[in-house]
Amino acid sequence: MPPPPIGKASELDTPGPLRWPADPGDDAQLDHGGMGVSEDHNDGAPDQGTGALGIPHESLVAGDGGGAGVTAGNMGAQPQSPCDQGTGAPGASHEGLVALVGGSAVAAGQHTLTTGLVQNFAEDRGTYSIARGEAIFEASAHSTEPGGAVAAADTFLVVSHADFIIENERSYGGHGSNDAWAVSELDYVAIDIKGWSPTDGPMVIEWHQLGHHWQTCGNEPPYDNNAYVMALAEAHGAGSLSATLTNALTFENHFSFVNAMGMVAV
Amino acid sequence: MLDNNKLFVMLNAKSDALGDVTATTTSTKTFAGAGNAGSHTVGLAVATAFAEGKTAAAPYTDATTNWLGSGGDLASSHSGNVSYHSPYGPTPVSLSISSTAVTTWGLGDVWPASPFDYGH
Repeated sequence: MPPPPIGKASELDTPGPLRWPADPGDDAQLDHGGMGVSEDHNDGAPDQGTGALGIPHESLVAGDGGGAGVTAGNMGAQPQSPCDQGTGAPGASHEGLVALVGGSAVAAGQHTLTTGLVQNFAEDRGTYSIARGEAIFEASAHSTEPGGAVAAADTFLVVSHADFIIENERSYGGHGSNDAWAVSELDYVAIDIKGWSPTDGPMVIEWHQLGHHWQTCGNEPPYDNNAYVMALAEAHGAGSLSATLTNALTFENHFSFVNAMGMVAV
Repeated sequence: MLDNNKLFVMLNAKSDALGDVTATTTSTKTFAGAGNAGSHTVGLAVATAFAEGKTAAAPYTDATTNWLGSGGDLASSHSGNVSYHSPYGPTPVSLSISSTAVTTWGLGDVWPASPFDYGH
């Protein structure tokens, strides 16, 4: 019997104008082997039953209607705890090494671009396990109105049952009168030595580099609204697990958003 | 206040795998912009999951993609799911692939043909 799913994507309970596919696209698991193929095709016919096609849709953004709904105040990069150790009390670390890395990027303005890349790898090497990965998220925005461009990017790392963690996080950003941009990068290595743990808990080495300067030449301002994101996770070891999640969202003339995470466990 | 007919599209992808060797990838892309023929959005999402295990502990994979959109006059979407599960033999494997493509158009009162209507 296959184990239960790690977590189903939450269904969006949004009545009204929103559209989504009638078939959420879940894979039917085959208990006894074989191959399954399913397809869902929708050519936009108004009787698809998943939304009111042809009807102008109301705004999706709640609030006071004061514009893009995103301000510099609530979009500012939030420095996160660089390494959230879930191990608890020190002791022999017989548990598996688990590492989750990810991030998000959001840009608001008439022309926006957000990108994200997550890679996470882990391997059980017998006497020890090692995990390494990186997350790179970028956001840039351009607005014809002064002060109308906002960009923020963030990355995070969560590691459990590791003895050594080395993490390097870099965050940069800047803005002009009509432009804003932000970059957040994180890479790490975590090692779990089986049957041994540091007496004082995991040894963590962190670097944080923060920057705030004007965007130099070389980066073209975005055009239209784009969001690209990709995540990879790979794990080698008995009973290992890998999982990835990505989201991309664009709103014409307003903003772009991406987030992603990759988890490995060995 | 946002315009009523502003286009919005969101794609998400999820994949997970359990086994002795596991690999997952997800990728999503969205675009929203205006062209000569009007505004449109495009979204793509691909999720893959692979796992290799043992007969005693069969590998497990799951891949899911989904979309959500608003605005415009027409939506076209295409989703495909492929799963291959072989729990027998010395190295049972499981593979799941899911993909979704969606387009929305904002062309006023005109109902254009979907690009997926041509040979797809």
